[in-house]
Amino acid sequence: MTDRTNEEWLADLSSTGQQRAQAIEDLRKRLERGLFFYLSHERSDLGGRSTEDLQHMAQDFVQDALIKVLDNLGSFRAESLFTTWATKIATRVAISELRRARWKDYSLETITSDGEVMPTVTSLDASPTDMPQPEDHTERQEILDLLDDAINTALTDRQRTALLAHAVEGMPVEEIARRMDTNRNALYKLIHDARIKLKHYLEQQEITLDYLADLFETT
Amino acid sequence: MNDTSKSEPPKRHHCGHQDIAGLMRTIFSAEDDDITCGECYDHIDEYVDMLRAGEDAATVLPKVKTHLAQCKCCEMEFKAFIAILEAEADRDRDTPVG
Repeated sequence: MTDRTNEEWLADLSSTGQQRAQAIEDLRKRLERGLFFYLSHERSDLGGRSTEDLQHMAQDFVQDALIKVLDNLGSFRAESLFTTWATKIATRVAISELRRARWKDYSLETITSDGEVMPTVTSLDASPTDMPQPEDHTERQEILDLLDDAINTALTDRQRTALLAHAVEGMPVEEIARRMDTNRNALYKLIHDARIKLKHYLEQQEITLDYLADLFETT
Repeated sequence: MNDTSKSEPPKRHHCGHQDIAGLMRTIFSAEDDDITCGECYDHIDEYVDMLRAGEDAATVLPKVKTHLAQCKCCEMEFKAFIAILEAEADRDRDTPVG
């Protein structure tokens, strides 16, 4: 592995012949090592995979990342190390692909398919150890009803679906965006606007986060 | 963000107290001047290099810090990014020159 400056990376990757081939190979090795480390040390969900499997995954991700790096050399602003910038791209490629694979069978239609947005206190308290005092039960139901009303009246259909998919189901924004025919930035903005609307709604009702945390996190 | 298994697809889970509390935290943590994921991504390499150099990245790029606190997806990518760079730096330190 050579230690190139940013200028040297750009010059070598923009050149031709052996000089360019060597730079690509050096970058490929570096990114593959990084992604293999990530897949094998930081992803407990991939623990059942063989070393060979993980190496192949890293190679595939880096292949895609290298194409993006080479296609976007002109957008590198040199505000970081070149290798940091390239690692950023490889990390995004890997995580995006893992997210896509994990959520591929998940439909947004399941989110409100039962006709309810918020659960009832009874369904929340399914575990016998969670059974609240009667006064807490009533208070929680009032809050859930209020939140249900806010989500149904203050938000658009798209905001409601996106917010619940992300904040309750844990679906990544890019996966929601793909299903809603938009992009990650626009989807994040959609969710952000929904959060701001609900925040203002609840603040108007003089409901604070501390109060809600006490009410729902005590069991 | 539970960005986990390829082999274990997520299923709609039973909505519990923690989900409601999490939703509330998501709502109340919303900041009016948040940036988009794309704007965060544009600057995250610079932010990370500053952090790793011991510089005050949060002061220079406060909106990146705010966004990372707001967006679980970007935060998760940021942590992975840092972990990969740290592993590579460890390797470089352990590899004799020449």
